[in-house]
Amino acid sequence: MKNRKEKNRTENVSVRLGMLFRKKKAAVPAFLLLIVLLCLLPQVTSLYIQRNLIMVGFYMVLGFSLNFVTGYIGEVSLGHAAFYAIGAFSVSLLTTDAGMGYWPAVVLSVLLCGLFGLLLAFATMRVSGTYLAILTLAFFYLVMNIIQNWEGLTHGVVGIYDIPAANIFGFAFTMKNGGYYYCILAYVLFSILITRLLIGSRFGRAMKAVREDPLAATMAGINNQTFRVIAYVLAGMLAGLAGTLYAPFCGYINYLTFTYNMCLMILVIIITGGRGTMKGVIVGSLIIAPLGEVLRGLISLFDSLPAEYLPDPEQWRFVIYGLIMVVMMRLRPQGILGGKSRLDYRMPAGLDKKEGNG
Amino acid sequence: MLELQNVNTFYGSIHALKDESITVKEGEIVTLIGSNGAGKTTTLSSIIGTKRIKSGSIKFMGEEISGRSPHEIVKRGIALSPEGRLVFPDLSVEENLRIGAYLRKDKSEIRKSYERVYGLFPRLAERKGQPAGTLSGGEQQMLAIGRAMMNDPKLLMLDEPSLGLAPNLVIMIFELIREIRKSGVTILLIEQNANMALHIADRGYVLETGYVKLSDSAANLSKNDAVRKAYLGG
Ligand SMILES: Nc1ncnc2c1ncn2[C@@H]1O[C@H](COP(=O)(O)OP(=O)(O)OP(=O)(O)O)[C@@H](O)[C@H]1O
Ligand SMILES: [Mg+2]
Repeated sequence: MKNRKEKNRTENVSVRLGMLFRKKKAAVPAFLLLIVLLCLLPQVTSLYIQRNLIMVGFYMVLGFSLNFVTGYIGEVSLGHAAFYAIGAFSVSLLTTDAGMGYWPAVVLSVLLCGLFGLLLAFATMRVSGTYLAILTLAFFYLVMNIIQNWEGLTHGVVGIYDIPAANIFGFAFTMKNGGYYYCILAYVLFSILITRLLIGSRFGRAMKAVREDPLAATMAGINNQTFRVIAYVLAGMLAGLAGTLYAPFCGYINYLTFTYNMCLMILVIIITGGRGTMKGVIVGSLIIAPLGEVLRGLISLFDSLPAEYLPDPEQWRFVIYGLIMVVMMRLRPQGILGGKSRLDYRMPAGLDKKEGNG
Repeated sequence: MLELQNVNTFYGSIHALKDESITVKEGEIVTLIGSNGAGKTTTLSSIIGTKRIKSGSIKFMGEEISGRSPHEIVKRGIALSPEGRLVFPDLSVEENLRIGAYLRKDKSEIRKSYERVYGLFPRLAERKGQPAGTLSGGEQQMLAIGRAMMNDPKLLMLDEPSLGLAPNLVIMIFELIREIRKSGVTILLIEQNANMALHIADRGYVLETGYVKLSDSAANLSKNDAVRKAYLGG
């Protein structure tokens, strides 16, 4: 009798281990294979496709960045492109007017964005909901107005020309040599890595608790404000990092480069994919970021028609985002991949008691 | 252990606690009873620091705690299982408990707390991996209490733990509260179910529109005519 129990137990353990192992066995090589494929991609695709992939990459990093705030703290930020802009302007000014090297400029810019994240977190400490959304929007317009009007520093409406290409050990990035592609790919992987590290940690649990129920989180002794601030600083830094690559990628930026539409797009990405999930950010940016190009492509199929009958894809893109938002809110408020937990719980196969013991 | 002296708390112009004085001694179960809106929940929020008091003093283990922020107060050993069993619905049972132990670092101590909670609530152990939102009402209440226990509190405050539970579960929860006290935790219990509360408590306070109307041993309160009329249904 005792032996039998023992045996059952060891069997159970081996089943458990097996599951763990199988999961890992499949996941790790698949992930590595995916990365290899992604690395080979620019060798076979046109520059046009590569350019779109790079843009998807930028939005993915921005999505991961906003995910810290909207996904893990549960606060909606309508001004997230502000950090992207600060990172971009800061790195451009440091590498042109201040004549600094690219990477030191990146480090300084990212720190500066972290500082702005801190500022925004403190400025919005006592507000929530709609007021918070409006304040974050105001933050965006404040930043853009300063960039537009502080001519002495930011060149005002003229913008910054001739931003030097990003480089590594003197090897300059171009579209042709795939430098920007590999760099943004690295940033996406970096975003995934820090998100993973964060959510698995004590920090991550605390952040989730704050999102799900701030009061109950407080009761567990969590200092909610600390985690808010950490989330904003991290989000600011990551969006800033994206900005430091975006500026040299464009070569020229001005106050019109960063728009409210961008802020909206980052938010739509998170909501479409499912806030608070990493896969959600990835799927969301794969769907949303190329939408403008897809639309342009669709409309160009009809270019035998006179131009005045053709819709402007730039304008119509946002009608579609609006539609996506409405449909998502109606049908799947938790996002395409979010909130699996609403489904009934089932024991993993092989651990079901009725079948396991026999 | 806990001493409230002439505590006054306001919501804007609403005077919710009026010169409230309450003491809880180590090892006791003390219950606060009173009808809806009497200020029971407000008393607990004032103690845990989510609601600032206007005047008066709140001392815990001899130290003034009013004016401190909630996480500091929790750190000193007070835990609150809030009204309406606030669990984290998307997190698993185990994750909920893990968050309850947020302030503690010692792994083996945390393990002991898990064992203690799972010992008290075997049902939670069976449902470790299940999202808390899919638990039944009674199980969620157990989880809320269990989570409050994970910090190894000296004083456990329970806000209406029997709310909305079937009678047999109510009895079970009250039995568990006794068990918890036996393990050395002092308890401040808020209840509408005055009958049950007075049954397991040592002492009780009756609150009415922010005033402490009566305070006595639980046995005397359950014999008191006014209390019987107002809260015990006869
Ligand atoms: N956030 C708030 N804003 C304004 N007034 C409040 C607030 N919370 C409670 N009150 C008021 O304070 C008084 C005491 O409320 P409290 O929640 O402490 O009552 P309670 O005894 O816990 O009642 P119940 O048994 O219904 O939970 C009530 O008159 C209530 O309307
Ligand atoms: Mg109440």
